[in-house]
Amino acid sequence: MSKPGIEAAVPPVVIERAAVSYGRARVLDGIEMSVAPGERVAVIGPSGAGKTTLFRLIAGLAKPVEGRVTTLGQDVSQLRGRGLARLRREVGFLHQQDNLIPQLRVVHNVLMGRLGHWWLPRALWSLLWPQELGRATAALSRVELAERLWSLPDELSGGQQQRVAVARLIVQQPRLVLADEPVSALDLRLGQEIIGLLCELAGREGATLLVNLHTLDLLQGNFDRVIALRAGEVFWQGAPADISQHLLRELYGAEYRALHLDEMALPA
Amino acid sequence: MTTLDSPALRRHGRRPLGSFIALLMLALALLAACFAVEWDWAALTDARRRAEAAGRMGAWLAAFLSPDLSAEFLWHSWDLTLQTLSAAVLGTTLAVLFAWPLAMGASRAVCVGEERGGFIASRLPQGRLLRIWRHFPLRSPAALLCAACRLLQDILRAVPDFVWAIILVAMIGLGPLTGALALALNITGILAKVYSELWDGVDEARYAQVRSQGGGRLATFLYGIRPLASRNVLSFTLMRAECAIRNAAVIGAVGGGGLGSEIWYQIRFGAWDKVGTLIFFTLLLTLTADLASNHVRSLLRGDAARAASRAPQVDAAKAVAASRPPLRPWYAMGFVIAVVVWSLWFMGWGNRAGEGGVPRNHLAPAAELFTGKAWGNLGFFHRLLSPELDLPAIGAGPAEAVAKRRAQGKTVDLFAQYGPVDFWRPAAWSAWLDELRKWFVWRAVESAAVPLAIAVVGTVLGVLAAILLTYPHSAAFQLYSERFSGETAARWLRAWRGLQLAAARATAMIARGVPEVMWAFLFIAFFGPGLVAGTLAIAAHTLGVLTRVFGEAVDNQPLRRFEPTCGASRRMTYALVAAPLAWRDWMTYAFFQFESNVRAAVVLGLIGVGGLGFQFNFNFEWFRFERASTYLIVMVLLTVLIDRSVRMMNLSRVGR
Repeated sequence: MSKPGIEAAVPPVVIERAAVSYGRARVLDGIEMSVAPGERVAVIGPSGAGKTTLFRLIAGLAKPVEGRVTTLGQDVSQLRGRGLARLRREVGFLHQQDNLIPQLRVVHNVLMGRLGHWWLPRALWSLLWPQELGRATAALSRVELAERLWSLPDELSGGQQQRVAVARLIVQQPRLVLADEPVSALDLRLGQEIIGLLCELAGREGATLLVNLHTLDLLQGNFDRVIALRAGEVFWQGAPADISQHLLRELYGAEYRALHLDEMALPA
Repeated sequence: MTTLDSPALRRHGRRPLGSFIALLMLALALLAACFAVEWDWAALTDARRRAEAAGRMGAWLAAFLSPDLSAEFLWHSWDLTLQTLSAAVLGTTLAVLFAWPLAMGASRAVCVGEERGGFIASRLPQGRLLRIWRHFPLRSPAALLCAACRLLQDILRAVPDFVWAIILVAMIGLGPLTGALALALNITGILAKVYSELWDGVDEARYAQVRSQGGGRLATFLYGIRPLASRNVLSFTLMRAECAIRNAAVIGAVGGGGLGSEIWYQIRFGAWDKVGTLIFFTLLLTLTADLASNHVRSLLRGDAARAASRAPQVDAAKAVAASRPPLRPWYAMGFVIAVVVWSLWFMGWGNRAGEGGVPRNHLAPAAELFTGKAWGNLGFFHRLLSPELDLPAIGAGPAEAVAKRRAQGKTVDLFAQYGPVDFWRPAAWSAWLDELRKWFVWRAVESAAVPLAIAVVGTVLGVLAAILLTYPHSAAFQLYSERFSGETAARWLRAWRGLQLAAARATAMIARGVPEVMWAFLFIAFFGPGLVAGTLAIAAHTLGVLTRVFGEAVDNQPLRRFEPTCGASRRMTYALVAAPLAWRDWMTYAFFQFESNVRAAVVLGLIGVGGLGFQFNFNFEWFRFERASTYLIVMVLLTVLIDRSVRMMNLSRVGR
């Protein structure tokens, strides 16, 4: 963030022939991809294709057994010390659930976005007397939850909880957002809202967005590029408009009918 | 946006003050603890006395590093260890045997069961009156039995094992059997309370079908309630058994035999090398028990996890095995019976405690309980049943006694100097206190402030230390942190973290392996008798006990929960993610520990810390049984009051 001129040119995610295996099983193999700064990318594929593992690989939580993964200019298999701290500060996560700490009020959950910038005593004091309250209220009003500042997460609906998690991302101002099935637990309308918020966030802050999606209806209009994974390999990538029924049938196989993909309005 | 009802909006719109109120209460409790009793910090603040204490500690450490390892003393210690173990086993066994019927009586669900109308209840309108009637003990014979059992279990539990031991020593003399029986009496009360609460905590809907099959109360209990609560019952029994071993190791201080009597004896002679050996054996015993119970409880947890995951992931080989009745319960049962039989044999004939290594039958005094010889020694017992209430002092009782006291100026005349309207003057309060102190019962009640203050300060210190120690103690943060932070730690860093983990675990193990009473022995030897020694002892033991359960609460969180932490360091993740996630569990354990610390503080009073326990022991040893009995009543009231208030705050651990 300090040197935008230099770092803006570096692609946030570069994966060169990376493979990940759990035990004997290869979960990802020969992944080759690169994401440009500010790009909004959706990752699709049947369950078990390795979508979540791909996200963990990019975040450095899963280590490649082969190849090389560079996130925000850092090799993820060499993360330690200051580099690790910087990467963690600049990568934002959004999971399907369990994003919030149920025991902490919304304000504390939102202010977690600042943890990378605070030292420990201040963070502890913040639990008693929230610091930088203005940032939290501003972020919450952007997701239209300003009046829920002092609620507990359990008092919110699933969609509202996801919006709080988005507010945390707004406070964190990450350069790369990894959203792992952020809307799978929500219905289509709420999902559209969350994806809309994420895209707006990415657009305004210039952050790069990677979203792992189950609901293909949300692809159109929101993303620049779609990467389809199948059986741990990149099956197809291209613009959302280029997806065809034929492609989906081949990609999802047995899941095709169960997901009602044939009812989607797409060029045949 | 959705429209919010106004109370909800008001509730969410305002900054909640809960944490500030909690902090204020804590500060008030600490202040009260500091001013209610006289703390003598000189042992820690005075330079000369600190140097002396340091010297004694150094001498002790040096002696501990060169313990008495002569073969003779080692054999003696080993014998005492086995004696302690057998006393603990017998005590726990007796307690379980007695606790079951008592708990069945005290459990509302088992004893009273389904309340069908009844003559009065059917005539009461629905609502508060009916609810009050449901708590009235005389509504049916079963309800009366239930209330009586609860009273009995409260008394058994509230009188600490050390006090039972003092009373039993007067009946059947010194020896390990006394210790075993004293432990049994106290543990019976504790187990009965927990069992009955666990059974009452089972949701009625889950065993309604057993009832609807026409089973009576007993059948409903055996086939419905008992199996539903059995895992918790087993787990808690194990924890108590572990506790019994720790207590058996120290109950010798008041005549219960085992390692404790020898340690107490050697401390008086200042034979620190021998004390070192004995503490080493105590640690050996308690840590073995600790590890064994940990292992069994992790097996139980594993069972629970398997039962919880409904997805049948059993492979074929296991499915075949499951078609036979499982043998593991039988093995476990056989093992328990073997241990109990061994304990009986060792207590009676297997030991070498007599002259020249011949066995001495410690079970013999039990016969006195049945032949009635012991009850003859119990002349004091009816005196114990008539507590000294010192009624003349408050102007009640026989007229001439009152007149005599009044002539001496020793009656309570509360508003002699200051009337109730002077409540804003500090002098009035101290004058009122002075007046009240003329009444013996008031002094007895006041003596309860000492254990309370020790328990409050000791628990707070212990909890704070445990929160700090849990971080290096937690495997999630020391060994597996790379899985949620993405770090590739250098090898030396990983080794360093492993070292921290090992050091923290060793500290916690030793802190909890040494019982409070033994910590108190040591701190009294270092700092002299007094509140400071007692507080430190309680804090040290609390640290050990809580660090283990705090650490379990953290390590049981899935590592995934620590991932979305927005760049926080490991330490910050611990403080701001792991601690809040585990906070409720932590506080439950802390309150539970506080409750047990109050009881422990009473016991520490017996061995020289002062207060309630000391007063009881003093009066008992000087044959002033009526007064001792008053102190005993205060003890029971103290425990019952704390138990009820903790339960009211809904923090009791049972039923969760």
